[in-house]
Amino acid sequence: MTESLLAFAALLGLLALQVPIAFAMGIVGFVGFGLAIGWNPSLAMITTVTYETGLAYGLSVVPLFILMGNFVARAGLSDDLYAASNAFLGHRRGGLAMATIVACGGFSAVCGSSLATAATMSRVAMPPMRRYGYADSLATGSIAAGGTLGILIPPSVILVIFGIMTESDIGKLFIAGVVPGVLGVLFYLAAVRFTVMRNPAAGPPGERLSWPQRLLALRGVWGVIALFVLVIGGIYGGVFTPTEAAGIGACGAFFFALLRGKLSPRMLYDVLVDSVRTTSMIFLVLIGALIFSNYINIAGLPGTLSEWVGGMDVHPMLVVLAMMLVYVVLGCVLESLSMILLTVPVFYPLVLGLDFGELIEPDLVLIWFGIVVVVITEISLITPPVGLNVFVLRGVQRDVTLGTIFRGVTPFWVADIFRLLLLIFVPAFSLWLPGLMN
Amino acid sequence: MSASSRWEKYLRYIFGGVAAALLFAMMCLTFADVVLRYVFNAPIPGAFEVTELLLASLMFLGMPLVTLHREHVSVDLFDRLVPRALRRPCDLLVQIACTVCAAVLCWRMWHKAMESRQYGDITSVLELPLTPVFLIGSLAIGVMALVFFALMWRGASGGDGQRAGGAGR
Repeated sequence: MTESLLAFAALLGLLALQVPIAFAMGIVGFVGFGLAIGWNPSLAMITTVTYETGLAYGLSVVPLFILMGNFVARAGLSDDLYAASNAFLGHRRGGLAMATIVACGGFSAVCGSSLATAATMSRVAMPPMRRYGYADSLATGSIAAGGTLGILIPPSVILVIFGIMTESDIGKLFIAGVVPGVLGVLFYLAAVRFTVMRNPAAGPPGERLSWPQRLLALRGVWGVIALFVLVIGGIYGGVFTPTEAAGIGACGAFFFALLRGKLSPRMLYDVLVDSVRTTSMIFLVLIGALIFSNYINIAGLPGTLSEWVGGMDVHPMLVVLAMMLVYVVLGCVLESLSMILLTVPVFYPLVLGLDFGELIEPDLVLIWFGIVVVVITEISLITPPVGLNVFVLRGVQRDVTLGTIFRGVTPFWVADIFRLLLLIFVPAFSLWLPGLMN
Repeated sequence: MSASSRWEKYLRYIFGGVAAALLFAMMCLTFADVVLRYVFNAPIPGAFEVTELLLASLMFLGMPLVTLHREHVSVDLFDRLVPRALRRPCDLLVQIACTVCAAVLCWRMWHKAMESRQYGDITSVLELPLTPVFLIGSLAIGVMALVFFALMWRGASGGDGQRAGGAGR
C-alpha cells in the first residue's frame, strides 16, 4: 500500500515537471517493478508490454475508427448534419444551439473522439450562430458540451480502451452507450432551453423552413445514418466483430469522401498520417499505463483496496459515488485518456467485488461501470481548469475568452451531473440494450 | 533549407509514407476479409495475423512522428508553478529522460529481435516471421530517441526551446 502511494506521488512529481504522461507512467512502473522483483524481469516486462500492445488484434479497432472519423470529417458530412437539424429546430428560440447539439450527437455516431467532434462542429456551427446574434457563451458552450458526446455514442475510442483493460465485450460496451448518449442529447437540449428562458437575447430564433425544405435537408443525412446502421447495427446484430465493423466503417467513410470529391491524393495521405500519429500517441500512453498498472498490481493495491472497502460494509452505490469524486478531482489535473488508464486498473477489480444484488446482473457490472466512467470523463472534458474541449473551442475561436466558454458550458455541466446520477442509480438505461443482445 | 529541417522532412515522408500505406492496407484487408466471408463464404486465411503485424508496425512507425510534432500528452497545468528561470533546465531534463527511456527500449527491442530470429518465432497460421516487426520497433524507437535528443540539443543551444510534450490533442 505504501509503495503504491509512493508510486502515485512519484508519478505526480514527474507530471508536474511536464514529463510526457506515457514516459512518466513507464518510468515509475519500470523502477517500481525493478525494485520489487528485479531489474532484468523489469526490462523484459517493459519490452513485452510494448510489442504485445502492438500485436493485440483487439486494438486494431483504434486506428480504424480514428481513420473513419477523420474521413467523415473530411467528407463534409458535418455540414449536412447541421443543415438538417437546423431545418427542424432553427426557428425556435435557441434553436441554432439545439441544432448544434443534435448535429454533435449525429456526428458522434460516426466519430469516436470528443475533441474531433468539437473541432469539426465548431467550424460548421459557429458561423451561423454568430450571424443570428447568439451570445458567444451559449454558442461555444453548446459546441464544447455537444462535442463530449463523441466518446459516449458509439463508436468510441475510450470505450475500446476500457474494454481492452477490463477484458469486457467491446460490442456490448458500444451498444450500452446508445441510450445514455441519446439521454445526453435530450438533457443538453433542456440546458439550451433553460439558458434562453433566463436570457432570451442569448439565442434569437432563426428562419422557419417549410416542410418540403426540411425533407430536402434530410437528404444529406442518409450517409451518416447508413454508416451508423451498418457499423453499430452490424455489431448489435452480431454480424460483425468490432474490428470488422471498424474496417467496414473506415472503408465506407473513405468512399463517401471520395464520391463527394473531397479527397485528393494529398488529402488522403494527410488523413492517413494524421490517423497514424493519433494512434501512436494513444498507444504510447496505453503502453505506459500498462507498465504502471503491472507494478500497481504486483504491489497489491487493487487487492488491498478491495479488502479495505469490503471490510467497511457500506452500500455499494456509496463506493461508486466515492470513485466519482476521485474522478472529479483527477479530472482537474489529468487529460481524459490518461485519467481512465490510471484509474480503471485499480477500480475495476473493486467494482467487480461489489454486490449490487438485483439491480445489476453480475456479468454486466463492468459494462455499466464503463458507461459511468465515460460519462464522468465527458464531464471532465468541460470542467475547469483542464477541460480539453473548452481549449479546443478556444483554439478555433480565438476572439472568445476561456471564461466566456466556461460560463456558457455551466448549464450543460449541470445537466451532465443530473445525467450521471441518473445513469448511476438506474443502470437499466445503460444495460437494457446490451441485455437484449445474445 | 537548413540541415535539421531537411532531415525532419525526410523523416516525415519516410515514416509517414510507410505507416500511411500500412494503415490503408489494414483498412482494405479488413474490408476484403469481411466481404469475402459474408458474400462468398471464403474468408482470407490468417487475415487477423496480418492485421496484428500491420498494427504493431504502424504503431512503431508513428512514434518518431508523434515526438517530431510534439504531440506527446503531458500535463500543462503546473506550468505556472515552475519559476521562469528553471523552465529551460527543466525542459532539458525532461528531454534527456525521454531520450534515455527510448534508447533503453530500442536496445531491448533489438535484443528481442535477435532472440526471435534465433528461435525462429513465427505466427501460428500463416507462419510469418515476427523478427521484422521487432526490428521495425527497434529502429522506430531508436529514431524516436534521436528526435528527442535533437529537440533537446536545439533547446540547449538556444533554439526555439520546444518542449517534449504539449497538449497536442
